[in-house]
Amino acid sequence: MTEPLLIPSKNNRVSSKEKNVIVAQDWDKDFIKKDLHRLLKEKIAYKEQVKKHQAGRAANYVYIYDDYLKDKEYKAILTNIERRLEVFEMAGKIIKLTSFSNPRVIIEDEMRHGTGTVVIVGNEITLSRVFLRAADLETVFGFLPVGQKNNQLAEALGIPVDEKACDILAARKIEKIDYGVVNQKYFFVSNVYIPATALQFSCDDRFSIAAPREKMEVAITNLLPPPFAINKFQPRPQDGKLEFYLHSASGGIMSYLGGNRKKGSVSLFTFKKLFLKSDKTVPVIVDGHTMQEGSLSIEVSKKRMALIVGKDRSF
Amino acid sequence: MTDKAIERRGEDIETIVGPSVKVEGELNSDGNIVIEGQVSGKIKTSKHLRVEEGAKISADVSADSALVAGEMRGNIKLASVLELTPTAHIYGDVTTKTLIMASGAVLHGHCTMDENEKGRKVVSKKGEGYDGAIVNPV
Repeated sequence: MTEPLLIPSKNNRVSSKEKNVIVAQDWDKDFIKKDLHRLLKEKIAYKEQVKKHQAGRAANYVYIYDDYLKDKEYKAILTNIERRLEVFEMAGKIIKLTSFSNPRVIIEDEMRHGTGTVVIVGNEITLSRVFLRAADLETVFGFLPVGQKNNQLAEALGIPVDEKACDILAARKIEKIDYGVVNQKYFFVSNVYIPATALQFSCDDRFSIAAPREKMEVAITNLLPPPFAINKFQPRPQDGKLEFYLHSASGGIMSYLGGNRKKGSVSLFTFKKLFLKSDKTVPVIVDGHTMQEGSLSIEVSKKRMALIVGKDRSF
Repeated sequence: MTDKAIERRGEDIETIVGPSVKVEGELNSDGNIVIEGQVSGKIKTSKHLRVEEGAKISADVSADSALVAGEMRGNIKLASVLELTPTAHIYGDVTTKTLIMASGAVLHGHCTMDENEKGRKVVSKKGEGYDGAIVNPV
C-alpha cells in the first residue's frame, strides 16, 4: 500500500491552515495535477459562460408591435426601424399584438426565455395597454413611437417618433419611474381621469377632501397633465408620489372625449395613497382605457419600472 | 418669503385648496401651499403658505413664511415672515421673525417675535384687539 499523498502549498510545506487536504491513495501525482488543472479550466469557462449569458440576457430584445402598424402607411417606417435596429445589432423577436392578446402573458413568457428588454412599438395607447397589466414586471421597457398621432407621452419621455427613436433605444439610458396602481389590479404611467361626479376623497389616511357645493372632475397624474386646463404642469415621476387634481368647471365624459375644456378653479394635492368613494359606479379612464368602478383605491407603487428614456425628457 | 418672491423664483406649488373645496385633517406638504377654500385640522409645510381672500382656516399652522388675505383661526408658527393684507383676519397666537401688517388687517392674539436676531428693533405695543402683541416696525 502506498503512502497517502498530501497536496502541499506553494512552498512545498503543509501549513497548519491546510487541514482539509486531499488524500489520494493509489493515485499518481501527475494525474491529480492534470485533473486539478482541468477543473480550474472548466470553472473559468463556466464563469465566462455565465457572464455571456447575463450580458446577452440584458441585451436580448423582444419587440411588441401594435395591431395598427399593419396599415400600409407604416410599412416604410417599420422597414426603416428594423434596418436601423440591425445596424445597432439590436434586432430581436417581433410579436404582434392582437385585440385578444394578453401582454402580461406574452412578456412573462419571453422573460422566461431570457428576454431582458421589452420594446413596445406603437403609440401611447399601445404603451398604456401593455403597462395596464404588465408595468410591475421586472424587465427593462423600451418604446419606439410610430406615427404622429397619440404620441404625447413619447415627447414627455424624450423619445422622437419613428426610426430616430432607435438611437434612444441604443443609447439605453434607463430611468426608474413611478407608476400608479388602481384597485390593486391596473397600472398606469400617464394619468387617470374621472368625469364630473360626486365623490369623497381620503388622502394618505391623513386628510379628507370634499366639495359639497359642486361636482368635480378628478385627475390623478404622473407623466402627462390632466385633460383640463391648468396653469403649469411639471411631471415628477420620480418623487414617489402622484398628483391629484380637482377641477370645478362643468364637464363630463363627452367634453373629455370632445376636447372641450373650460378653465375653472383647480385644487392640487400630492399623495401616496388615495381612496375615492362613490355611491354608484363611475367611469374611470386609466391611461385612456375606460372602465367602470365604484370605490377606488389609487396608490403609487412601491416598486419603480425601468424605462429607456431620452435626454430631452420633461422630468 | 413673500408671494412675489415665490413667483420670481418660479417655485412649484405643491398643494392648492380650491375655493369650493373643504379639507379636514392634517395637511402636510414639502412645497408651497395655497388655500382658497376651507381647511380645518393642521397645516404644516417647510415652505410658503398663501391664504387667499375668502379662504377660511381653522387649524394650527406651521410654515416657513405666510401671506394671509383670508380668515385664520388657530395658532401660527412661522420661521421667517408673516405678511397680512388689508383683508386678513387672524384669531390666534402668532410666532414669527418678521411681521408685515397692512392697514385694516386684524390680529387677535399674542404675537411673539424672535428678539435674538441682530439689528432688529423690537417694539412692544398693547392696544385694542391685541393681547401683548410685539410688533416689528417695517
